[in-house]
Amino acid sequence: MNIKYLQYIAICIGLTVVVFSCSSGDDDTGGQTPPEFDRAAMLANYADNLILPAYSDLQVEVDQMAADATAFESEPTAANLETLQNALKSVRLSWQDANFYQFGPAETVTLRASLNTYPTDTDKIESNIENGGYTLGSIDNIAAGGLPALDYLIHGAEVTTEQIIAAFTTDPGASERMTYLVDNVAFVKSRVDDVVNSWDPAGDDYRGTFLSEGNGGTGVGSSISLLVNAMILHYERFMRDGKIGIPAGVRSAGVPRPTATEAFYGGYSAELAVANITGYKRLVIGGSGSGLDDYLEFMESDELSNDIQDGLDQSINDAGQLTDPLSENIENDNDGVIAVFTSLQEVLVLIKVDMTSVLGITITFQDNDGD
Amino acid sequence: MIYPINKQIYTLTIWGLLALFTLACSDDDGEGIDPPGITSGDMQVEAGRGTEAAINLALNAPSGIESLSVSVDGGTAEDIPVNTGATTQSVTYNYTIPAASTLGEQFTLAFTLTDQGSQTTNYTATVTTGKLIETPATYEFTRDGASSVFYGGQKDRLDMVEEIKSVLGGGDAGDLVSEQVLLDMYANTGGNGGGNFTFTSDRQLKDKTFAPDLDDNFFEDLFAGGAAASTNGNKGITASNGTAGLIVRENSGNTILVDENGREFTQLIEKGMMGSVFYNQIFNVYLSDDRTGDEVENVELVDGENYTPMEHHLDEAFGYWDPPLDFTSPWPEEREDEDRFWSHYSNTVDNVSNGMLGTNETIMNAYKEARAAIVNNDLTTKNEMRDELYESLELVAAAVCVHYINGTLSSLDAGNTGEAFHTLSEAWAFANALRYSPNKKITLEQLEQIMETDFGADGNFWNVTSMGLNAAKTTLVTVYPDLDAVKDDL
Repeated sequence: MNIKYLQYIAICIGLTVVVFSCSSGDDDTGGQTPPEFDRAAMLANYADNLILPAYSDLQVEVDQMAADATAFESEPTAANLETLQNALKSVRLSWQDANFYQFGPAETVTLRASLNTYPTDTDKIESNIENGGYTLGSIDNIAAGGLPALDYLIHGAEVTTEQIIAAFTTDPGASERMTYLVDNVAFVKSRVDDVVNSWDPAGDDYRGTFLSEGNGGTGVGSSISLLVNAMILHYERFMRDGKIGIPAGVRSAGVPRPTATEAFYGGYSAELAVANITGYKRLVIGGSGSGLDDYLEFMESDELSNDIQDGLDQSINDAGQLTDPLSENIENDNDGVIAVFTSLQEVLVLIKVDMTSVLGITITFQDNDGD
Repeated sequence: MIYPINKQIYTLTIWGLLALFTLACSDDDGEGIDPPGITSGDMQVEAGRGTEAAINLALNAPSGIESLSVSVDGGTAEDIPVNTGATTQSVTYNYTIPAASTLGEQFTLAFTLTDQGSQTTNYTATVTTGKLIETPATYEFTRDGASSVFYGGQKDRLDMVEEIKSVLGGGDAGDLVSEQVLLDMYANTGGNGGGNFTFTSDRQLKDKTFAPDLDDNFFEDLFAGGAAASTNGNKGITASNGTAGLIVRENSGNTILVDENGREFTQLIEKGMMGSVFYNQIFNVYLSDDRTGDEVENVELVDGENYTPMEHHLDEAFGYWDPPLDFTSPWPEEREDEDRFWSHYSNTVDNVSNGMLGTNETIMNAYKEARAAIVNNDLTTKNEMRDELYESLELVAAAVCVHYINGTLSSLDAGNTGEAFHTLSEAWAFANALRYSPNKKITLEQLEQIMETDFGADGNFWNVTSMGLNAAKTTLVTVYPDLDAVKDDL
């Protein structure tokens, strides 16, 4: 064999290897493409370790409140009132972890609007008590029911415990007021029970829908799109604005609205805000499991993931400086409150613009037909 | 080398058989002269109605051709000119298919050739009425090179509703709205809406309104209510339960004018006219047997026009839908301003994320196929497409209603009650539009339940609850199962 012949063979082998490797690359993409992020596992973590436990905890607290309301109705004592007040606070704290998931069952029963529309309309509440014939959950009563209405009913505005009890026992219209209280507790319970049953695999099994393969993509209507849109809408409108911005006056030409705080009558709005932001961070990181932070890191956006988490830590810290009652904090030192708003605003951009861009999720809320 | 031999034998056999056949069939009088014959490749001929079907005949008569006649469907035979005495001749006979014939109708043409020895032979051809045109890609039809489509009257009425809407928009912004202006625009007083239209027209909306709505003063009452409410709006009075006035839409910051039950006048009137005029005219007039049934004139053109009455009636039904002529699914976003009213709302529910409803294409195809079928006098297809139009146009109204129910739920949920009143007004008006089809799947009882109870007890939007909205949605999805797969995505 001469050398030329060897060269020829070598070239042939070389070409064959090239052709072979090219064709195998084309035909068998399975082993060649970069691995996909396991969204299914992440969604399962959200469903089983965050959403379902949050609703379940909320249901436990609401059941307790219902029992305490019944006890107060039969024995309207100062001790039973205090127990009920504490139960309401537990419900409201528990709500801070359950309020992020306004899609599917929660949207169907308008859970957030039913449970937590504030500031509550005290005139409407009083007129409902006086006139009866109200439908809790209707648009007309959207600001006259739910947890903020209970806040008003059992704490009252600048009144003593004795006066509150008298309003339910001896004052004119006392029994109607008690009925309104009990109706509201039942209203809250029915909505929460509906949502729990809808998610329940043994009930309507929305969990199954949420985790179904068909909803596993990232398009509009996919489970991750619903989750991310709901969490961003919540952040912007109900956490940043509702809990901080609106009471601090950022939506009213700088004129503060202290009565627009979440728990104005109970006076623990700052505590609720801290709980909500803390819950938000837990939501971003998926608790101790696979979360949006992992998804971002998988997409090589570690810095963004870190910035979001650091920003939320900063907001938790800033909100921790607020004092209750938040309404008084606003009146005495509104700058400190506005600082929390600013701190929250910085993270919003990261979540709403940068995170959705990396994950390829379209913002669908504020959908306006333009007519 | 076997094949060529076999082929020869085969060929000879065929000729032999043919010869035998010809002999057996000929009217041989035994004088020993070969009988005449007709050959032709045209046993089955197809052509559009009103056009000529050509049948080519090859005649031969060894004793000389005497005459050729044709009888259509057993009718009186008529002579066809021939070269008398010739032994062979090629003749092309052009049969004019009656313009009134329907697609697929067949005509039997029996030709009889007589030779000079009085021997005869027969040949039969069948002429079938075929299509004059295939269904075009766009809604464009011509006759003799000129368009045969015209629906200027419909465009005028759509323009009128647009200008009425813009007057109502003033009320939403807090301006006073004049009842008289609205009445004049509705009845097109003086051909220019009492001076309120930017154009003139001899058409009007009022005389095309669903008769029972006219009886009930449906629009007149809304005009009066809107005008009265606008005095509240003009004072900046915020609407509340029992009080008409303005409500802020949270997404835009704009206000809307609502009645004491929270219903937005602009939506009730604009969408109300989409139902009571546009859908009413499509459903109860132009798609009815009276205008597009099999008995409607479809041969003679309307005096001075380039269309038959039936063609024009379908075009008028199309004009009330008024899409771009090449409308389809999905429709590109950059061309969204080319559709309006019903075609616009078809597009709203056309391309939803979880599988398209695809109503743009379904409805567009139905219109195009129906129109082509009318040209072809294809009554079966025309009637199938009319059924399709009834069904799909109704589905659009139901789907848009669900779309706005969903919008209301999410607005309520987001705490945007102003948006909720707006979207609920839309949902109410689209439910209302379902009333107008004589073939509707939903019952009037179901509609009343949705509009007067589910959307708020006692017909009052202030009473609406998520339960009521979900009940209405369930009813619609049950009656229109096509919506089931997309009910949460609409």
